[in-house]
Amino acid sequence: MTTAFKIFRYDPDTGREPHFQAFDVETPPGITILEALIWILENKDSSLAFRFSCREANCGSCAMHINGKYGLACRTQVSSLKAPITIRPLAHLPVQKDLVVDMKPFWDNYKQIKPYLIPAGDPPEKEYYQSVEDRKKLDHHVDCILCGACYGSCPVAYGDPKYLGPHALLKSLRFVEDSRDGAIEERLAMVASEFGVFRCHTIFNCQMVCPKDLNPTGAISKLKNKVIARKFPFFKFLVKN
Amino acid sequence: MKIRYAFKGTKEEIKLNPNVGTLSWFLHRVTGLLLLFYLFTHMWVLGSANSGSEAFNARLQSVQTPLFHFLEIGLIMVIFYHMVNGISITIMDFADISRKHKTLVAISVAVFAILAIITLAVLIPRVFGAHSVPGGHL
Repeated sequence: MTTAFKIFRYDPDTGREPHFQAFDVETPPGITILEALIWILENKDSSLAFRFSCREANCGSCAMHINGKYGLACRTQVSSLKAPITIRPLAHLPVQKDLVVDMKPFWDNYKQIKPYLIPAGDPPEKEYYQSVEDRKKLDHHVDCILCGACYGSCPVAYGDPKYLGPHALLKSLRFVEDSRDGAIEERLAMVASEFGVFRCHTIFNCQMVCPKDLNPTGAISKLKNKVIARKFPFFKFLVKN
Repeated sequence: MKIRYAFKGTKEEIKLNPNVGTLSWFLHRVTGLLLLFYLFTHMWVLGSANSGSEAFNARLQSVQTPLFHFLEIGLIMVIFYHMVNGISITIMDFADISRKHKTLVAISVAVFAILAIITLAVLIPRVFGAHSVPGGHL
């Protein structure tokens, strides 16, 4: 069985405008988009550029826009989509070549939220203790693989590249809710800035596209509630802290 | 240039993310701009009161036309949309129900539809009835 593909092509060296190129791909049952791209690379056009590594939705390298939805190429079955399958690179990030984008703005925003543990006092004798209940609070957020699908789907990130983005805000909540972290006030002040949680328009695209079924929109809401509870203690009865 | 860039981006965003959230966000922006435009028109009419009651009456009379009465129905729909969507987003943030987005959207659409039907049922006969009778008023 063959399936028609339309793939975004752009090579800055040739000077040609960005365009779509059509391919007919051999697609036996069970083949994923990533395998189809590799098939094109091996059999049709060896100049096609795209990122991948683990092939099992763990590394987050192969996020792209596939037939109207951002997602991981390695997790999307060709048979689940209608032909022609249109593939574009992630939005809101500069395209370097074909489906490869420059992730620098994405990582710059991520670094801003200090994505590492900041302990409150001196290190303890042995390890940092965390109860099972406290660890359970993080179960959800730690699954983020930072693929960039949410950032590409967020219309706010288009209008404002300085907006921290759903990925950074979700990770920020991961550290705010960590019982071992001692910099909660600093973190909340950071996300309450001009480019933080209050820039979110609650559009829900990040939640819909997340390949790990996480909930960045809900995380942003939670951060908003925490910020309001600290800034306006009078409204504490309204928010869930 | 920047405004043009922003509008071009909006079109592209809707095309790339055909979700209900993107659509409601876009309509919220459009209705917000329309309400801003209405606010200026409103001030233009009310502001004439500074020049005395005759000027005010004359300006008020100038907008008592079938077209403006028809547009008023649209204005109420715009207000309803902006209001219902705004309230639903606020509830979403405070009530921690982000996983039930689709249910909330369905409820919002139902509330909007009920408000719209009641308004249309009341206003359409009044608007069109008033102008079918010579010298009729709202």
